[in-house]
Amino acid sequence: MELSGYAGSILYVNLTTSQSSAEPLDPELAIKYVGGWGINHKLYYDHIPPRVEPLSPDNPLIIGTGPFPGTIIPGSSRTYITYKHPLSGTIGSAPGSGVFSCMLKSAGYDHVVIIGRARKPTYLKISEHGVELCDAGALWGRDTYETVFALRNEYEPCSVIAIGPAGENLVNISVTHVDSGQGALGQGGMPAVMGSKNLKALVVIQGTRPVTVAYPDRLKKVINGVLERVATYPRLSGLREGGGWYMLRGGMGGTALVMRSKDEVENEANAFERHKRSRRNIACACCPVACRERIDLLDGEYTGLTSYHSLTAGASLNMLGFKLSYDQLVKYNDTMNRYGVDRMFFNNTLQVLFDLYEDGSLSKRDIGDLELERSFNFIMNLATMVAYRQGFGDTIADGIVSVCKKLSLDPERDVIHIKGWNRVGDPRIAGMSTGFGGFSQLVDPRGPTGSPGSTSPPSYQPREPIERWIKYAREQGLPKEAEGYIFGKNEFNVARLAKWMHSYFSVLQSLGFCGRLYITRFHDLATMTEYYSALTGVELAPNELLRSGERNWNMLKILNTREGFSRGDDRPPNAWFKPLGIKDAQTGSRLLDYYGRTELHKQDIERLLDDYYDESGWYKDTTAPTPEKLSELDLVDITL
Amino acid sequence: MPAKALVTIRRLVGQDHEFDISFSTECDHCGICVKYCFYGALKRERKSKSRWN
Repeated sequence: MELSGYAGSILYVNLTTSQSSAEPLDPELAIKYVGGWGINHKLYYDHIPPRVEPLSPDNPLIIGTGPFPGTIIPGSSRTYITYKHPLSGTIGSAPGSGVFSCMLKSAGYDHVVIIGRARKPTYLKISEHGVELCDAGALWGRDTYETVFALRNEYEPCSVIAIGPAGENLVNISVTHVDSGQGALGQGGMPAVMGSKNLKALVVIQGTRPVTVAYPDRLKKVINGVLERVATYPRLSGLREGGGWYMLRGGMGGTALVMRSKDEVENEANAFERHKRSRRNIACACCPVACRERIDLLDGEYTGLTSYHSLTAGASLNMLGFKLSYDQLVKYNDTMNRYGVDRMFFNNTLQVLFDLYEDGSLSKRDIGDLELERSFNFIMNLATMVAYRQGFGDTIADGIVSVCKKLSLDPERDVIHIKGWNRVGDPRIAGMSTGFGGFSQLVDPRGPTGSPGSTSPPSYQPREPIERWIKYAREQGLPKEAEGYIFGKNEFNVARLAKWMHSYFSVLQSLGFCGRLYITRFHDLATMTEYYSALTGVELAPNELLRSGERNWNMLKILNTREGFSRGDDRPPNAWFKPLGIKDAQTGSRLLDYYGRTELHKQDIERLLDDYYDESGWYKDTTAPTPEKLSELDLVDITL
Repeated sequence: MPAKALVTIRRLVGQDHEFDISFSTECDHCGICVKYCFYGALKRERKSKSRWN
């Protein structure tokens, strides 16, 4: 059976034996699991036993695309890499954008499964002419950008995923990106997994294999409709002028980060103006929004610096009381990107250290004689220490739970983390929503990324009218009967709604479609289904596609249940039930429901968790899918 | 559709996110690439009475 939209092959690479082979992509597998992270999860289940060590040769890197990349469907650029995270021990899929997925499909592959460990520094080169493990000795020790440019200089047109010093030194809070900045990739330590395999980089050379389309005119008709909506979006010009910083200033309400007083963000307006002059838009493959950015500093202290950022250069660090100039922030972000250290984890760990140091709970001696100061030089030195595991940087590199153990702190009492990830949005700022800074952070099997519950524009804003929530929920496939018990007159059950948002998010991640609101806001389940049917020739109803998304979300849950994760790991941070001591918070400083009417206590969150598991068809204690749910999703061959 | 595209977009190394755009000699001037470029990077101009460029 020929299936349009897919490259048609899965590549298997064993770094230990230096062997590789390509197998045809089973069309039945593709139809059932769609692609992207969906097939990744199934491949992980089929080929990898439970409880492998994250830095062992047995931990795979499973790369997946989806049927959409390689076509002109707007927003179809995603690559997913599935692995066991060194930071948390959870299994999940890191999404990245750019052109890697398109290149991989043009080379003839939908998925790549990498296991084993190379004997010496190596990079994997994939093309339509073959697969090669190449000597990376000359690249080892170089930062991510240097490695990307060196390989692109040799193989362009190509796309590269490379690790820097943090990956080489097995830093758990490492991250990288596709090429030099088209999407962060691999939170939770994927570069460390690559480093443990002596795998310096993945290079895929553009091929000539076409992505065939079953019904081109039908597909173009859907695309044209979407592009018309994009062209008339009132905030598009602002986004293209100011980038993600523009959206953060007015859109997200700062829910992604713990905010201190606004007074501590000095000269933000002036910095934003400089940002607009210094930046230009970068688009991922086939995306009309171009939310990534390149920054060129044409004057000032770092004249000539060119760097690449997703979202803003400005928001995060100055919220911790640092008073860095715009140029210093760009330099800091650039350095972190080059090292491959995740800024979010790093910044949030710093906040903990500063809080404890300044209230006298920590001494200089406790932290390896490190003199904590809110200065540029300090932050740059500490970044180096983390990337190279020097001094106390070695402890920070292992993550917040390790920091707590080292300092004899109780991670459940003294810090905010979920499943070992201290990249947690605080719902005390703007109320308990579904996504970032909200409920999804608790139940995401991978860790508190927030993205699965953020497919809907109202999820980014506090106290949006209930009608908006209902509108988007319907568009994303919420069945009528569920709408009846999830939504009240001016309230909704955030947990039960989150379950349906997760199914829709899983659809996007299975198709190879970007999960960012900038592009998802122009789409809905009906559009996704029509794209899919026109592309592949497989006629599906929207609820069937949503069912596939739910299936793939459940596969993610199953993988983590096998690892031993259960309800106890979905526990909310204790700090959420204490007042947040900041000024100018939008809803005051306690944990409230989305509309700010009711304070939420621990037992309320437990009830919400019960609701989520019930809506999902999972056991409330183990959180494993029930046999009835497995049967409903045609997963009866799956054992836990 | 991408399988039939005759426009070549070459990313310049060292000038990341700078591109050189050219067309294969087999380009039939259908204009689809112009229509689907979201950023107006391509323009269609009539070169002569009988030929678009």
